[in-house]
Amino acid sequence: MIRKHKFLVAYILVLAVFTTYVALDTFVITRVYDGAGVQTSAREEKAGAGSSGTGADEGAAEPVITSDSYKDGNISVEIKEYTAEDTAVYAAEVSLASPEYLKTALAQGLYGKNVTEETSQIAADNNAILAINGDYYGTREKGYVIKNGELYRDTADSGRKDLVIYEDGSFGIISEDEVTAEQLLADGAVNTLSFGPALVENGNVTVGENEEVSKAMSSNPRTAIGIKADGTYLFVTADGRTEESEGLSLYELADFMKELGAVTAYNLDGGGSSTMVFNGSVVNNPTGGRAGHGEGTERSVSDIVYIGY
Amino acid sequence: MYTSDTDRLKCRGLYYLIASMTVAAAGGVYESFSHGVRSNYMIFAFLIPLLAGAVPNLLAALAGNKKRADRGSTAAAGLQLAGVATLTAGSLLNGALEIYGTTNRLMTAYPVMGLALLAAALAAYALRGRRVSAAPSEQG
Repeated sequence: MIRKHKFLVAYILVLAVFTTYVALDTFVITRVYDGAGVQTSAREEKAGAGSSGTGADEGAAEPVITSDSYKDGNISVEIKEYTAEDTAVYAAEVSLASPEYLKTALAQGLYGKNVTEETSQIAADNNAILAINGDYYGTREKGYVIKNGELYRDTADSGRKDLVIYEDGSFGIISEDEVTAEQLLADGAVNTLSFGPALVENGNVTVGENEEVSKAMSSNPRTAIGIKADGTYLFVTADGRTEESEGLSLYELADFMKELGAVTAYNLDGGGSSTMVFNGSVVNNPTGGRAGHGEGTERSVSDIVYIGY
Repeated sequence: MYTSDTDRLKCRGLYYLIASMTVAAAGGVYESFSHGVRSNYMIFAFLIPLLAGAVPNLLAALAGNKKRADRGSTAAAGLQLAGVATLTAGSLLNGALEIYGTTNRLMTAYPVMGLALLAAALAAYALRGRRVSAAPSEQG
């Protein structure tokens, strides 16, 4: 029987091997890309040419730290827990003396595919005061990646809108169809977050009630970042997928961000990735493990957004 | 093993039907653990063995035409099975990737290879059918 169908059996074996390879290539095999950023922003060039460090912590007073707040001469963080739509939501309001304290970091300090670490580990590696998971750029092969002024990926993802953090600390929402990554750098972009969608623009909710990320249904753990009119930053995570906390739809998240006063807000990678870390401790209840096994465990991600020196 | 070519087609059709139900069950189980993230590639993967395997084989068997039944040559059936397997595996994997929110450039190999194999199977069936049709008239 096998001899009669030997070509078919051989083909099925090849198909199985190829499928296994594709699965490993997607989820397991680590690829670190050399040559870090292909281009550098003006701010990074200035920092590189200047004296050691940014001088950012020179004026910092001795910090006053509590379980839900941090304050020194440059950075002020205050975390509050809310309940919205049967969901535990953690919102950090951040005031900075300079936008250079708002940073991003890559897992293991490396840019690549399947290069991941837990948000709390990346935060610890970078002495972050406050951190949330980022856009998980490593799961996609397209979409701009600019981190701390370094351009890592300039391949546009058609239809995707990014949050751009400029060197003056302001936020902007751009479409990758309309502007190149190089142009963004020239315009002063320091970081891009390429996930989405944008939740609030010019103070108005910009997602529909039934809009969702890709194929996701409503009520999931969420992570979002926003900025208020006075320049205060908002870092938000919402728990979900548990009996205690249902999770938010994108519309509910957008509405929440608007209620907090956001004039611009953007949805980051959510689900099991949603994690907020403050002073070395995880604030929320991540569900990063596999279904049914992940409550209280962090998912390893590609990158974080954080506040720190 | 088979009493006739019609029985062979019925048997193949039932195998594809079982495969289709298995794929539907696998997709359903995967979807139930995906926290509500849906992928049509995962949900509708069962249609591939159903429409490209079970339906044509069972229709050919039900037609009961000896000439049509004779078209089920081993080579053509093998190509058909390889094509259906490739498209189904690609659909399931693409569904898994979509649910996870990721992509892989190698995924394009599945539809290209799968459709090429199905086209080759169709050509093989057509050639076989032409030969079978031609044979009686030459004798007659």
